Amino acid sequence: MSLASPERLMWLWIAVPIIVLYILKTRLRRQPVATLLFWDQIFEEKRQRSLWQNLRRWLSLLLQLIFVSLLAFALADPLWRWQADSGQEVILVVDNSASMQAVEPETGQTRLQLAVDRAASLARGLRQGDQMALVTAGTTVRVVVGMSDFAPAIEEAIHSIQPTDGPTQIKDAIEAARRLADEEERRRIVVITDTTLDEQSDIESAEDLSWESVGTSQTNLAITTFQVRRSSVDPIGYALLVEVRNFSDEPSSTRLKLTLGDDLVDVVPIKLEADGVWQTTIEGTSREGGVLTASLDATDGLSVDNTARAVVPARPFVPVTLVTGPDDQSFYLRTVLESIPLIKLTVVNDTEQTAENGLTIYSGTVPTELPPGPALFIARDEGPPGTWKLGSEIDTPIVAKQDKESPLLRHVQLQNVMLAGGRDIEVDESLGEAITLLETADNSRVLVSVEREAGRILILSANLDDSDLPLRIAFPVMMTNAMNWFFRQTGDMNPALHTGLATTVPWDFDAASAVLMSPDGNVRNISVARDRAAISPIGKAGVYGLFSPESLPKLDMAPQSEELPIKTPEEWKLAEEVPGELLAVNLCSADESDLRVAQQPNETTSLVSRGGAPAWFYLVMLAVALVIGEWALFHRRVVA
Amino acid sequence: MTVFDSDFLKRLEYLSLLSKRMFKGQLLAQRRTMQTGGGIEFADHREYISGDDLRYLDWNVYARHGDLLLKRFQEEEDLHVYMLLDTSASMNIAGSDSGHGDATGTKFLLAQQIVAALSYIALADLDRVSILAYDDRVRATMPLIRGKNQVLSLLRFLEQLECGGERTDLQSVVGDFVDRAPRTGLAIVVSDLYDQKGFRDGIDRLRYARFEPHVIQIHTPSEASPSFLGDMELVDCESGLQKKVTVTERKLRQYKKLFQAFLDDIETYCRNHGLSHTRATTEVPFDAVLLRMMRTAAVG
Repeated sequence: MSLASPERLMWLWIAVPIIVLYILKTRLRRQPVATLLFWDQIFEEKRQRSLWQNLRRWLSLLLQLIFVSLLAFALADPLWRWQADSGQEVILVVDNSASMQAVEPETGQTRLQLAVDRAASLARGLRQGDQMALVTAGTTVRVVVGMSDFAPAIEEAIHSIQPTDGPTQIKDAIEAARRLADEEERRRIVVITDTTLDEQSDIESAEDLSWESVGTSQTNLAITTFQVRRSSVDPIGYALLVEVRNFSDEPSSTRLKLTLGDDLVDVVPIKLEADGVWQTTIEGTSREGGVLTASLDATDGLSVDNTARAVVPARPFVPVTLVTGPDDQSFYLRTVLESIPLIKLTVVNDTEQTAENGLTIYSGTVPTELPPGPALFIARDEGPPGTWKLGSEIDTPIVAKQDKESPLLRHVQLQNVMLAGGRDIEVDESLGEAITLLETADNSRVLVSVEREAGRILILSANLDDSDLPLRIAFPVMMTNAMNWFFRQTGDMNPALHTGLATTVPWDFDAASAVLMSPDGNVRNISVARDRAAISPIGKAGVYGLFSPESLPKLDMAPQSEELPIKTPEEWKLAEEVPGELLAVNLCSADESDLRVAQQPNETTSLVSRGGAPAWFYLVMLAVALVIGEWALFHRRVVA
Repeated sequence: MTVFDSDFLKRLEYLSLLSKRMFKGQLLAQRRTMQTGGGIEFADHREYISGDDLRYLDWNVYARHGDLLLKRFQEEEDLHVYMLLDTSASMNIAGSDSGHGDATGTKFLLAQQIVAALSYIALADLDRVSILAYDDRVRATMPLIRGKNQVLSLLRFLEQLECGGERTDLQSVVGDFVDRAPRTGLAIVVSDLYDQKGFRDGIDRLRYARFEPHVIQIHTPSEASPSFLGDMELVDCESGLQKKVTVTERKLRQYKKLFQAFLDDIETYCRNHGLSHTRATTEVPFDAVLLRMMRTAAVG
């Protein structure tokens, strides 16, 4: 046997005053009476019990000392060996998914608050020898506290559980909980969730699992789908897919309000049957772009699914300056550029004139020095000093090899295309990292892209007026790709993400890493691989920003200072202070939005079912029994 | 402390007047003694004995029947009132469970007041009053006095009395008293009657000696219904004997039954022998006790 708190045995000293008081008590109270005539008659028959009269006082003292000893040992919290061996490993799995944010109409508490209260009560009932861990099962499985026998720390961790907007990950959480326990025999998993047993019947039947349901059935209207894509016919248009569902056994009606930024786009009245689904596509146009927000005019159990967002990128005009040579009309090139939407074309002869904040295309001419921004060279001569050199003219400049990975050649097939006037391009290393996009059969590089800090450069060695290239369908496609590559925008829309799902999004920026800024201004690092940023499951719905870490001034990984107003990702992006993308994250989960709970027996879990109550409990019970016995033996006769 | 203050004396005077109105001369001194002698009121006859005064021979009877009978007359003389006041230590018990109390609220105080009041009334009616203070023997005696002017000396005598003694023995005291008493009369015993040998022998002795015993029993409410519980040491305030007991509710109930039986026994005894009996508790003022006595006597 070991004592959890041996220092509390000092309470045994209380026996000393008890003994002293008892000795004092044995000096009986003197009661003068006028005569003993009557008392003699009453107590005459008791004289033969004088031996018991003498012993009973000492027996009473003995019982009281035993009582004090038992209480002192109870305070010391003894733990017998068999009890220590039978200690449980309890893993609390608390569901903090989106549906746990539903507010119970009777109590005004959320389901998560009820779950936290229940978990805290279980933690308070942790016995000596038991260990407890805490796992949350919303959005992602998170081990909040590993195996610990310190109930206050566990209770504090339980109260720190925050709700998430993600889906339930009960199964994964249970698997994680099973891995936390060392011994299967001592393992006990308590799942506190609003997920119904029917859906989890396969795992609920496990012997090591206790299932505690929280919450009552509620009606709910939810946006279960909200996605926007670029219109196939309008470069500034978009098409929106919305789905609204009624998770109720009664018909319902509501209104769907659509706003783009601060502008109201549409208000759509919706009538839904019981368990009905309403789905529609809405088209619109916006050159400025912004955050498209849909909100349901409904007051129901869950609010997070009444709002959904999508990001519509801005499509500004791109200024393009075409600098032609004195003898070069660049007819094909000009025609193609004019056909590309959103391009504002200017044709000049002055090689020193460049496009401000735009693309400069040099056709058949070369400036004395490179322009500060992005530039496309249809090169027939060598570039400015320290840029590139051209080889001798190729005999049969037929494209034999092309870089299929490059976004510049997406949807483009240029093999076997004659590039008249093609010459091998040798880019000076000081200019930047050169990537060969097209090669002829003799390995001459005829199309090269260069990554340069001042702006990307694309060099095509060909005479377009004599080549087959302008006659191919691929040419306008390639030029459109080039426009998007230069300005790092494709016009495509990132799909709205779902909470709790890991995904990747395109990342077309120089930085090898990115940061994800949450709506409340917190940032976290995101790894980038192959021009795609890998985003781990997101727990909160809203508009996030995917930014280059270097572009955020004075931004560390800590939350923004409380003294400064928090700048949301939208504000960072719309102010054009930082390059990056906005990402919309929505719940859009029918499982989470369905707040109906199947009727099921709710068995209250007790942690005292194995190994019995702690030793101190039995000691206290024994002490109470002693008190009762002592009273019955010595004091009951006084008052009975 | 003054036991008998001016207020007490006023109440005595009031009681005296009240007694005259209620009994119209039937109480105490205005009653005739049972002594036969030279009065004018015929009492009975007795056989003539040689040497008797022939003036009292009933000649009518002799003429009719030839019997020599001597007429006896009730002698008209003052009533002798003897107050036997118990001054044993048990009389010094106060009305509460606390035991010995101060002068106020004790049985002895009430006894003093009752004796003083009865004596005052008797003196006011020109009777002769004597007081005997006793426990196991006579501790103090106030000889027979007569006249209202003796009241103050009587009160002083009562004031100087103190409780004490190790036991109470009424029989012994009465034996001594009967031998010394010059004449028979009313013998008023004021006591708690906690006589270790029993009070009956003493009263019987008075009856046999042709005294008219009158019993005034005094006890405290706590004696009739004690409230202490638990382990304690009971101490007899007279003998000093100790008794270690555990007083329980059940024992208290037994005690109350015994005490009630004790009271009933005294009452039965007095009723069977035609004795006047009055019971008083310390919570009742002395004048209320006397008024109750008067009413009882008036009805009787």
